[in-house]
Amino acid sequence: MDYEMPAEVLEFRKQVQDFITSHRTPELEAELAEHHIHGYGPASQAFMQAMAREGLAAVSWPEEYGGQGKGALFLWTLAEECAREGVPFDNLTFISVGPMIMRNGTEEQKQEILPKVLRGEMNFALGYTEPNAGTDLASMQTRATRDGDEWVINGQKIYTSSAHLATHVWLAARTEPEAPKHRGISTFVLPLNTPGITVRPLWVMGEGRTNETFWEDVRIPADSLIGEENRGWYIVSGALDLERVAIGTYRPLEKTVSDMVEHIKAERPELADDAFARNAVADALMRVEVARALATNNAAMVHSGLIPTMEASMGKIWTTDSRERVNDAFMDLLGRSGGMQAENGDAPLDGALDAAWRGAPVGRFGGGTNDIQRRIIANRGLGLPR
Amino acid sequence: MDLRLSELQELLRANAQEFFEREVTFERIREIEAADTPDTQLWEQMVQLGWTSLPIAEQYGGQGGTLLDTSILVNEACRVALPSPFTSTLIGAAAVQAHGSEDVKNSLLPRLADGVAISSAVLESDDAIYGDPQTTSDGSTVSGEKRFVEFGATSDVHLVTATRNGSQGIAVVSRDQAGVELSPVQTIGAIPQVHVRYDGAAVEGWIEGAEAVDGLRDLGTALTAFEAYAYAQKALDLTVEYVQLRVQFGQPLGAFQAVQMRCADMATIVEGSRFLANELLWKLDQGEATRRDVAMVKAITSKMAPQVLQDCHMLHGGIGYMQEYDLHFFTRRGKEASLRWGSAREAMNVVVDTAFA
Ligand SMILES: Cc1cc2nc3c(=O)[nH]c(=O)nc-3n(C[C@H](O)[C@H](O)[C@H](O)COP(=O)(O)OP(=O)(O)OC[C@H]3O[C@@H](n4cnc5c(N)ncnc54)[C@H](O)[C@@H]3O)c2cc1C
Repeated sequence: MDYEMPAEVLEFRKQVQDFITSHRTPELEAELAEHHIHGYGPASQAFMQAMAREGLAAVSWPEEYGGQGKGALFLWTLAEECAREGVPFDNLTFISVGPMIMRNGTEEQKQEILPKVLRGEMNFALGYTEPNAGTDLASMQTRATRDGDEWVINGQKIYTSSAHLATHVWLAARTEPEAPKHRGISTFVLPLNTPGITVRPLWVMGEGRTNETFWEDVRIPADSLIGEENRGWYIVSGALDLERVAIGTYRPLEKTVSDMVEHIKAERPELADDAFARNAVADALMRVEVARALATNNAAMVHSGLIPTMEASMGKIWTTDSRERVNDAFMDLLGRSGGMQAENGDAPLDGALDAAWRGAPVGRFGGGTNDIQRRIIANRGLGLPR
Repeated sequence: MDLRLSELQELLRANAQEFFEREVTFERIREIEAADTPDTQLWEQMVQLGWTSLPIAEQYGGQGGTLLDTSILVNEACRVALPSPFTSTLIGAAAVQAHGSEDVKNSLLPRLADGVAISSAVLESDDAIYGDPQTTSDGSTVSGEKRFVEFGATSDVHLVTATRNGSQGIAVVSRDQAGVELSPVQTIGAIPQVHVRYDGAAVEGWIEGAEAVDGLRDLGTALTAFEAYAYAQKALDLTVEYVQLRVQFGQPLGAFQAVQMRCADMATIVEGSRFLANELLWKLDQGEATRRDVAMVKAITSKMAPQVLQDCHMLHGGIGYMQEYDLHFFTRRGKEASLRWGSAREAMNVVVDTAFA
C-alpha cells in the first residue's frame, strides 16, 4: 500500500496549472463571467483546443491513438484542476466518448475521428436523453432506420447540452423496435450541421443552457454507426460509467470551503466565534475530506486497472449531495448577503454560493440520479436482493 | 381548539386563489421579474378587492381582520410566486397599528388601507454590521444605511428602525425625497430590493420604543417564516402531482419506494411547519408570541424550506431545472425567505440564548 501521489502526477498537475495560468486570457475571463448567459463561446473553444493540441486533454489515451498512455490519475488530475479553476475542459469527449470510440470503432473510424479530436477540431454533444426516456434511458424512441447506404434518423432528444457549440453528436437511437428494449439500440457519430437537426435552447435554473434537439429525416452514411448494430446499450452504459467518475469531481467544493474560510476571516470574523457557524464550517471541511477520499479511491482504482462500480456511485452521491448541503449552509451563515448574486460586484465569494446552490440539483439527478446510484450500491455493490 | 378555516376565511381563500390563478400566469411573473418592479395594475386590483384594508382597524378605514386572516392572502400570493409588496405593507401596517401614536396611525393607516401608500419595513442592516441609522437630536431627519430593503424603490413609505437620543424606535420616512438614495441589489429570490442610504432624510413620524422595534421584527420574522413554509408547501404539492404523472420503467415515479420515502419525509416536516407558522401568527394576533416562539418557527422553516425545495428538484429531474418550467420560482423565493429576517443560524442562536437564559 502506498498513499503517495506519484511525483509524475504532481509534475503533471503543475503543468496543467501553468497551462491554465498562461491561457487564462482576459477574453476567456470575460466570456466565463457571461457564461451563464451565453454558454461557452469562442474564447472557451480556443482554450479547449489549445489544451487538446498540447496533448494535455488526451494524456490518458493510449499512445497508438496519439495520447501519452498515462494512467487514470493523470486524467483525473486534469479534470479536477480545471473544475477547481472554473475553466472549460471537454471532459465528456476525452473521458467518455473518445475511449468508447477506441473500444468499439472500426480502424477507419478511429483513424478518421481520433486525430481530429486530438487536434481539438472535433468534439461531442451527447444525445441520450429523450422527453420520455431519462432514468429509464433504454426506453428511448428516436429511430435510426437503414435505407441503402444511409441511416435515417427521426425523433427528439432533450438536454442535448452543447449541441449549439459542439461539432458532432454522439447519438444513441433505436435500430430494432421489435427487440427487447436493451437490445435494439445503436450508437452513432455524426456532424451537428447535418440537415434535419434543429437545436432549441433550454435555459436552466442554474448557470448556462442546454438544448432540445429535433431530428427529422436526418440522413447519415452507413459508417456513422459505431460498434455493433443493436449492441449500443452496452456502449452507452460504459460511457455513462466513465461520465460518472467525471461528475464526482470534488475540488470545486474544496475551493468553495477554503474561499469561505478566507471570507469569514477577512470580512465576518464574528462568525469564527459563532457555534453554529463553527459547526457548519467543520461539517463542510469533513465533507470535503470524505469527498477527497472517495474521489481519490476511484481514480486510484482505475489507475491500477480495476473498474469501480459502487465506488464510483459513492463518490458521485457524496460529492453532489455535499455540494448542495455545504452551499446551502454557507448561504445561511451569511444571512441575506449569502443570497447575493454575482451581478452585484460586492457579493460574498463573488456570488459563487448562489450560483452553486441553484446549480446543485443537476449534480444530484444528472448522470444517473443519486437515488439510482443508491440502488447500484445496494444491489451491485453490497449484493442485496433486487 | 379548531384548526379549520371559518366559512368566511374559506371564502376569502377561494376568492384569492381564483383571482391569482386567473390573473397571475407564470408569463406575467416572468414579465414582473424582468421589469424588476411590482405590477401596479395587479396592486390596484388587490386594493379594489379590499385586501390592503383587511388587516387595518375599522377606525382607520380598514376591516379589522387578523394577521391570520390576512395570511390567507399571503399564502395564495406565494402559491403563484407573485413578487408583491403586499407582505411588506402588511408588516408595516401591523407594526404601526400595534405601536404607533395616534398621530402616526391617523396619518399612515388610512393611506395603507386605501393602497395609496405601500410600505417597506427596513429593519435589516445585515447582521448589524452597518449599525442603525441615527436620527438627529430633534428627530426631524434620519441618516444611515439599510440593506436589502424589499420593494424599497417603489414603496411610498419606509419604516426605518433607528435610534434617537440613545433610544430605539422607528422613523416613518417617505421615499420620494432627496435624502433617500437607492441602489438596486440582485438576490436569489428575484424580489426587487435595494440598499438605501438615508442622508438627512426628513422624518414624517416617529414610533418610540424598543418594544416597537421588537414588535416589527417579530412581525417581519413570523410572516417571512410563513412565506418560507408556503413556498415549500407549493413545491411539494407540485412534486406530488408530478411524480404521479411522470412514467419511467412503465410506472409512475410515485410508485417507486425511494420516491415515496422522500415525499413522505418532505410532507412530514412541511405539515409540522404549516401548523407552527399558522400557530405563530395566531399567537401574534393574541399578543402572546414570545421572542423564542418567533425565533423557533423561523429556525425550523429556514432549515426546512431549502432542503424540501432541493429534494423537490431531485424528484423532478431535468424538467424542474428548466426556466420554462415553474418550479424554480418557488425554489428561489423559498431560499430567499429562509435567509430574510434572520437565517436559520441567526434564529437558532436566539433559540439557544433563550433556552440558556
Ligand atoms: C442541465 C442538464 C444537462 C444535461 N445534459 C445532458 C446531455 O448532454 N446529454 C444527455 O443525453 N442528457 C443530459 N441530461 C439529462 C440527464 O441525464 C437527465 O436529466 C437524468 O438522466 C434524469 O432523467 P430525467 O430528467 O428524465 O428524470 P426522471 O428519469 O424523470 O427522474 C426523476 C426522478 O425520479 C427518480 N426515479 C426514476 N426512476 C426511479 C426508480 N426506478 N426508483 C427510484 N427513483 C426513480 C429519479 O431518481 C429522479 O429523482 C442533462 C440534464 C440537465 C438538467
